[in-house]
Amino acid sequence: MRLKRQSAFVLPLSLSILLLVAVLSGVGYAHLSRFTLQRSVIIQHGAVLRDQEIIKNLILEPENAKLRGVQVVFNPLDGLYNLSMTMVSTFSGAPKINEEQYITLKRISTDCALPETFPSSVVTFFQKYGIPEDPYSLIDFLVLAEIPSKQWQSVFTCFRIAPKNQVLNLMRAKLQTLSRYFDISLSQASNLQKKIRDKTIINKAGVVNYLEKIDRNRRFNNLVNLTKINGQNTHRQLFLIMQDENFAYQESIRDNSGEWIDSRLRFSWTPGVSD
Amino acid sequence: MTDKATIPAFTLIELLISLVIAAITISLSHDLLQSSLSTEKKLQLSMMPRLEAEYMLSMVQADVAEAVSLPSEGKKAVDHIILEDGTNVLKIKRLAWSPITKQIEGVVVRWQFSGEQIIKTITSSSLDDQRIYEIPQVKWQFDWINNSIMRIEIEHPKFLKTKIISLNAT
Repeated sequence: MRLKRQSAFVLPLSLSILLLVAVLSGVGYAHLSRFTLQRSVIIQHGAVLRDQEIIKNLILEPENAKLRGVQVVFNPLDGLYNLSMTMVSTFSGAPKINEEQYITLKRISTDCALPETFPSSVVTFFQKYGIPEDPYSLIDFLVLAEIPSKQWQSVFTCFRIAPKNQVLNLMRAKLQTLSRYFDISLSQASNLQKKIRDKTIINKAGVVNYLEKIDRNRRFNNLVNLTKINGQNTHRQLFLIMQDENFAYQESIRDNSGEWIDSRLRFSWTPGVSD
Repeated sequence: MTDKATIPAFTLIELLISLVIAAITISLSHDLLQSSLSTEKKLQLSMMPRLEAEYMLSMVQADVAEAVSLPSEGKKAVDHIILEDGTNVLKIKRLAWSPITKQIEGVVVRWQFSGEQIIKTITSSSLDDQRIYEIPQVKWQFDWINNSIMRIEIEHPKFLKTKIISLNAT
């Protein structure tokens, strides 16, 4: 007589071992994930900082940037009104309002559909934090001055913030800005810019003469003093774009030796560019 | 008779072996679970406050890194205030993405460190959010190494952690 072995013996044993392994794995996974969750947040922050460093270097190599899908776009800002022009530095260090420029600021900001409170926010900002002496970003101003984000677009279109020597470039200014700056009509502003561009007007005295012919009762010297008429670009903004979305912003100012000095590169989000 | 002899059944030796294996497996798994639980308890006691402190510090550091710059001092917009009850407050102005407007906007982040409790408040024109964290048995100490470098020290009975945070805007 021969006893037949039961094949069923292996199955329950295997199943129980599998069950045991599954339970242990579950416990182990829960255990590990609990401890690694917070650690991963710390590591992620490190990876973001690494990507930001790589992107900073990409600005200097636009071709390399293009290969990684990052578009580098520069825009001149010299034709925009510099908010710092509304203030005068004093010996005590506390900036004071330049009344004539403050009225100009009010005119431009009304024209840009900004609320009446905007000019006073600008003055409060300078009185609290001072006038920038190095390249400074308009985004930093908007956040620090607590300007509501729905007004940001208008501010970007009409204004810039830079050291006081960054005066209004009459050759590059928009006609609307010129018209509001000197409080003249759009056609007069257009004519003035045409004369500057075709070199009929070659210096500030010529600009004053032209303006005083328009209105003999006004003196334009102070306004014209805070302008320039050469075509050189000395203030620019930089946008970094990936997949049609802007993710970083920076402003730069050309110093006396012609070198561009940059403000902080500000990221609104950081794309992964590490290999 | 032949049919009776082949009735399916486990042999005695198979049953004994299976019992022995089951006993060993149960005993091993018990030991494993026991050690796993005790390890977790130990880790919880020693590692968790350390990790939580590290996590908290990296969140503060990330907020400071994103703070906007002041126009004239080359520093970031971070205010350190000490309240009357000794609570340390860090007020940080930074850019952030608003889940409500789905846009980037300026926010004020306020970190309040009072003993074991840490309160993070985020306010903007569209957002008002508060999160409360707790790390047991922890003391926070804030020192300024110079006017732009801050040292945050976390003291716990089992560890001492220090983080240097630079407020330079470069």
